[in-house]
Amino acid sequence: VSLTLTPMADEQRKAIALEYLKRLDRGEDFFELFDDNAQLYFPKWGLANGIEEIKAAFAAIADIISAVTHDYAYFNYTHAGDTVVVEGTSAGRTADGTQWRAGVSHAGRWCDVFEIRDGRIQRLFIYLDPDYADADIARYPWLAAAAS
Amino acid sequence: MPTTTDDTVMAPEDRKSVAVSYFKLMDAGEEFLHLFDDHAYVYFPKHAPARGIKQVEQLFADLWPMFSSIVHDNAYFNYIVADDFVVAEGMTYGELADGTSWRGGVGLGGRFCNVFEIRDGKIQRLHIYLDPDYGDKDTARYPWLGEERA
Repeated sequence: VSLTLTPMADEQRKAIALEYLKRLDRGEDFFELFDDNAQLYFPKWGLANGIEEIKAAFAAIADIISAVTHDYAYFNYTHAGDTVVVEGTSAGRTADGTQWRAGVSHAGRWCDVFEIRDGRIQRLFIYLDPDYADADIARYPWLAAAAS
Repeated sequence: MPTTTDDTVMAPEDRKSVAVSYFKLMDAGEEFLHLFDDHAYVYFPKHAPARGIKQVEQLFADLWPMFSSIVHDNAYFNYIVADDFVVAEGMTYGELADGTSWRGGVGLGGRFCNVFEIRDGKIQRLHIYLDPDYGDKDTARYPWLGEERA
């Protein structure tokens, strides 16, 4: 890690965050956007430290999701310092063919917290309910009540 | 409260203060609904979004039966404040009604990110982003959790 970082503007951080999501949707490689020592969090995975663990995490996630589209036009961005928070919705299809769409199914609302310095994603924490198929329902009292 | 063009302008630390109060009052088991605007909007995973204070009250009433106790580890939250947004990212620990305990960073559950919109002294919007499976009960669905690293 260099101690003299290249300063970045908010719109450069935004561009990197958006580029990551667009490549994800297109199924293209996006690992060059991450620093080699980046940290990732994804629900039910926990933390991935370093690019090799991050690749393993995304490979595992790709096994449960066949297709995803993030609704770029309607994201909320919050910038402060080196942090960019992106909040939005998604639609897609799980590996078993179940469709989800925010606002229609429970799944599909997400919030990503990026730390972006020196032109690379240093940290990405992905906050969402990973039950894309709305399959784990009985555990939640208000849903059980509605179903009975 | 009706929206007017002369809403009280809030300083960033005042907006943060409202968000901190939300966590602290909730953990103390004290009333916190007064922090919300009458027309507030709240989202929690697997729950229909609440529109207006009556539905907000119902949403939290729906959630409570899941928990025996919850602590938001507020000292270590990241607060990202810009304009009327306050994002709070951090961890919780506690015990579910069925006796299962969770602790963010130890089990899988317990990491969350809240996005608040706070204007005119009140929470106008709160989106709570997390995996609501605090107790790590729904794991069989995730292929990688069947393996050694789980």
